[in-house]
Amino acid sequence: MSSVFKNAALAAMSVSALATPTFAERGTQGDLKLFYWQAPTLLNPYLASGPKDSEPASLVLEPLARHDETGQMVPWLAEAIPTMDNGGMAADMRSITWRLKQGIKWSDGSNFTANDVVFTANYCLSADSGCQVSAKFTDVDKIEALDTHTVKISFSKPKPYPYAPFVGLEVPVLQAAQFADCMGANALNCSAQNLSPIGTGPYQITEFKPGDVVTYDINPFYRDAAKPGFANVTIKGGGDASGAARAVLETGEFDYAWNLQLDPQVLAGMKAAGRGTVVTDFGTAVERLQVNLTDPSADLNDIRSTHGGGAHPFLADPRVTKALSLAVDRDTLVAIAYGDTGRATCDVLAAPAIYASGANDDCLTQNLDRARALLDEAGWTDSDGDGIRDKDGVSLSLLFQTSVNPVRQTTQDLLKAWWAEIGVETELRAIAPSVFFGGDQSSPDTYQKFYADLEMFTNFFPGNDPEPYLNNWTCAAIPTPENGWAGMNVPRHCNPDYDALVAQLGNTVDLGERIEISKQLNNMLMQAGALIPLVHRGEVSAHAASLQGVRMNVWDSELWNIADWTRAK
Amino acid sequence: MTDLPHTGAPTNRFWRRFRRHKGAVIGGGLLALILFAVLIGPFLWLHTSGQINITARNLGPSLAHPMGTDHLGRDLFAAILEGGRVTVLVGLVAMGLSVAIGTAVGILAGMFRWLDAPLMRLTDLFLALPVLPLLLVTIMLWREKLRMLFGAEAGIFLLIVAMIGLTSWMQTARILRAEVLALKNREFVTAATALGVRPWGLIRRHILPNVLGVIIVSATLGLANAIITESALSFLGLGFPPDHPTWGRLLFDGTEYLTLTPARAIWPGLMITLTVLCANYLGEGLRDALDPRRGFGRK
Amino acid sequence: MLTYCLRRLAFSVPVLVLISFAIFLLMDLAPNDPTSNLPMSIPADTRAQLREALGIGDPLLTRYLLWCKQFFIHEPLNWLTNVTGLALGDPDRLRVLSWSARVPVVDLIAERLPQTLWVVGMSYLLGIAIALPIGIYSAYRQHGWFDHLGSFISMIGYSVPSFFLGVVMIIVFAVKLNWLPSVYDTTLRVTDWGSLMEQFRQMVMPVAILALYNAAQISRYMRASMLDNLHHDYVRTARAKGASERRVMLRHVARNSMLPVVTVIALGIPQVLAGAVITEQIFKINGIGELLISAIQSGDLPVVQTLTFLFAVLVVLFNLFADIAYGLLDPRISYD
Repeated sequence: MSSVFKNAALAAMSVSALATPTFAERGTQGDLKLFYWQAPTLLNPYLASGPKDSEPASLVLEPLARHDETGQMVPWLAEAIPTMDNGGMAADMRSITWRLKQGIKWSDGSNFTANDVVFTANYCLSADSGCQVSAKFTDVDKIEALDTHTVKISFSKPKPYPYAPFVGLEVPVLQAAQFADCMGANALNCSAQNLSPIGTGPYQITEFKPGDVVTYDINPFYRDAAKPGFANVTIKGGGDASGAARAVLETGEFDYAWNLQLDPQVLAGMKAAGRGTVVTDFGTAVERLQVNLTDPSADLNDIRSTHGGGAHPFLADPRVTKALSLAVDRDTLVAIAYGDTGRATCDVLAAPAIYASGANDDCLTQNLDRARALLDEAGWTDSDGDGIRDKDGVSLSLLFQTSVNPVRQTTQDLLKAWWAEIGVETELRAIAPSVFFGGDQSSPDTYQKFYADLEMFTNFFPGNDPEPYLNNWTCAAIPTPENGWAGMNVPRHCNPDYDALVAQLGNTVDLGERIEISKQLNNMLMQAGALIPLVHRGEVSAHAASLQGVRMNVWDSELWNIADWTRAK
Repeated sequence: MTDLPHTGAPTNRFWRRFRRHKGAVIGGGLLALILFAVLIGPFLWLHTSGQINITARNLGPSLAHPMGTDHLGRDLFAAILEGGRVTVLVGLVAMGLSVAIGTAVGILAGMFRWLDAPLMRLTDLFLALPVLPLLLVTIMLWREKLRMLFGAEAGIFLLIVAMIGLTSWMQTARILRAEVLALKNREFVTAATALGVRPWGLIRRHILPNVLGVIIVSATLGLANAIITESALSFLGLGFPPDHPTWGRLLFDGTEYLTLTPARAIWPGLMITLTVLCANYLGEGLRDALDPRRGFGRK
Repeated sequence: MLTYCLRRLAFSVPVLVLISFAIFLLMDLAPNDPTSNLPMSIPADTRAQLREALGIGDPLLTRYLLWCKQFFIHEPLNWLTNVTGLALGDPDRLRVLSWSARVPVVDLIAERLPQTLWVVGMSYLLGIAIALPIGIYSAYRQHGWFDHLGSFISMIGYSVPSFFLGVVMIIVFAVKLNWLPSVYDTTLRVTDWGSLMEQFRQMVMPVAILALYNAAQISRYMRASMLDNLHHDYVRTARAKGASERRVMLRHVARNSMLPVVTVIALGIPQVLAGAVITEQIFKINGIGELLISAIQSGDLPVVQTLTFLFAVLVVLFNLFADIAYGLLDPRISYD
């Protein structure tokens, strides 16, 4: 062990002693058993298909900086977050410089250097690599190692928020030596590497059966000699959310269970057994109705659901959308379908808290009378007495589609009942997720083609900068036949003022100003009636009552501080 | 086999034998009752399965809701009645398809020598298909396409019925072929052939009436099999979509609520079991009554 | 006899080729997309690249032939290399890779197979062990109370769907009584008495359910076969010679009645393996059935294709075994 490492370890130990006074020694806490019912299938986050893979990988692979449970960035493998103030960010906002911590070693004993960082970027950017997170490297022009512990990232245009590459669980640093032969198309065939990456984190992989189980033991070269507390970790996959919750809360077979989207009363019943705790935290995910502002009627053929087909016969009027929104009793919806895992919201940009506008909160309480008045005012009355409002021979009936999912079908049923009370008829459709979210050009049922009046799904943004998210509703992002139905502007919202404000956001550095602009953008979307936000969705996990140190984190891996976890005596 | 349908007396003997099989009589009666209930019941019952009542969620059994309610306050009894209609309909149509194919293949193979080998090889080929995995894969991959073509309920109904029918006719075909081969050596058939009766006439006038019993037995057992298969598919989440619940789907949805309202899983499960049990008993009784060498008709 | 075996074997090959092509065609014509499960924050062009990297764009026949080559040539070669330790051919040959796990499908199956074999194998053996005595005694005392009870139980076992019985057992034994675990632990290694008991406890429910079903089926066949034999002349002869009833039943009747039952047992194996799909789903056993379901759900075509084909191979293989076994055991059957 080098003296540098010893010193760093000693320093870290004293810090940790302050943070968690009960802390004992490395590996004294026994075994830890985690339950990820959506089982991990590979442990290379660059090829992973979601948190089910990248979270188990986060025990091993680490990024330069993480987000803590409040959403603040904390340096992880870097000394500090590069900013204008500390000279890490160039004045023209075209480059940043990360200084890496000294003395960090990979679990095979070799040194962690700037070369590994540069390699990882090239690995993801090389052609045919199948890298899932290449969007994190958008506008990256060049990544170079200035010396063994300094990395400079240059961008092709000014970046006021340059913290996408190597921040967060999706973009950790891979070991150059291990992945050297996996560049480009070879990435997909490097099964041994993808299943068992070497990392700098507190644990190393001892065995991995894809889709079943991962076992870890302590990384002998981990930088903090006092951590991690648990000597062995097992992540078991398979089954379903209710089985996972039962295993932690009722039978106590496991210490931690992830992603427990369950019926609130079922979860409450399990909690009552008293063996464990349910932890919830809210990220940026919002379940929303997308309103089709263009006409989806089938006789328009090729131009249906495009601006070429004209505006929607009734949803283009924001008063109608507002009435639909006011008719929804969000609190009841949350109580029945989401419980602790959701809260009512009227903003599509609901988090982080500093970005929440709150200007649209009048829809939080159901107001059927006002909804009816709005529809009357817009000229929609029940002229033929069939219980459904109409105007000029068009009746107010909606086709409302979403993916097959028990919670979504419950929501659909409830909304249909509420809308019936204000004289709106609803036809429900549920489409298999593989088709609804699939990119099949030949299927008419994708969420992007949107051959319906309303559709419902959740979207979110990773990290805590909403700029790319707000970019979703510019005119350029509208899915059309010409761009192969790509683009996230599903409501087909197009407003030059909005686009101009988004462009302004892209050139603003000051956080206060960025927050103000973001709120304005959110309000513009709400006033245009492009979206009806319903529920701000949280992440729910459960842990055994005896497990200590869990700091539930939706901004990064839930297991981000696993090195600090201990077992109560 | 006796030449039953030609005279009155053997039919009486058949009924006497059938009535001695108590399980079959009870099973047949119950099955008729279930069929009647799911066909007529939804029109008579106070609630419909889609009626939401958020003030009456997760209730236990009561007079208003004999099987309780679900998490949206919907009446479970209504769901059982309506789901049963789909389940039973799937069972009947799939069984019809399977028996029709099996009968056609079996009789053709038995009657015409030149068709025998290819048809039996085809039967072997179908027997070599891994049925459950294949059903799962086909339904998963094709249901949206059919849903598009025929609408939500009709699409999945056609797919499931066709798949069950196409993968379950082989036993019927084998049994019928053997029956036909045996019949061909009987005097009245050889006599008819000698008199110059055409093969199609022979099938219609002599073969079909004589294998009718075997076909009915196959149909009863096929009904049980089709219901179990549909329920298994729905239970794996690959059958009918949640907005058109069948018994299998209700059971699948109910498993999440095992701790809260176990009735949601138990009632649909019981109904599947009861229907299948009744059909199996009925089939067994019919077979014993038709075949003097077997079971209760033996002594 | 040998020519018969060869002929049957020769017939199996085109059947398998036909089935494999049918499986391929079925999946190719259907809409599906392995990238649909990815988070929505991944941009469309990344998705398109990914699809291309997986080789989805190639024409059907190309992919079919490539799959055949990988499955019938590369995989056996790899297996030989692993077994013999000799380097055979190019070590970097392409293998059938899972889209979601990026590992050879064969490795995935090899990892999952032991769990399935343990549970399914145990239950099948147990089912046979229960079924044979019940079948024999039921036939011996036909219409007795044991016969009636036996047929009733076998009828129940035959008619109660395993997914219902499994759910009820979980309610009773795992949720209410808390006697048995609800999750099957695949990492458990049997090293001492305690872990053996643990393994036993977690196998009780799935094995019991599968065994009941198997026993119900086999005992019905055994009983019917016994009844067919009981009234043959050789039984009367044996009794006339003064052999004990026990000896007549077990040595003569049961032995002869086993013939058709052996075929039934052999033919049942692939169906039982496939049927474990449901049991594994209920008890969260990560076996091949669970692998198939999760692969179907995530659109992982190579895994689905290989597994479905594997099931077909098993059916054909055991059909062949059953035919040959029948010929070997029963001298009255001639094959010419």
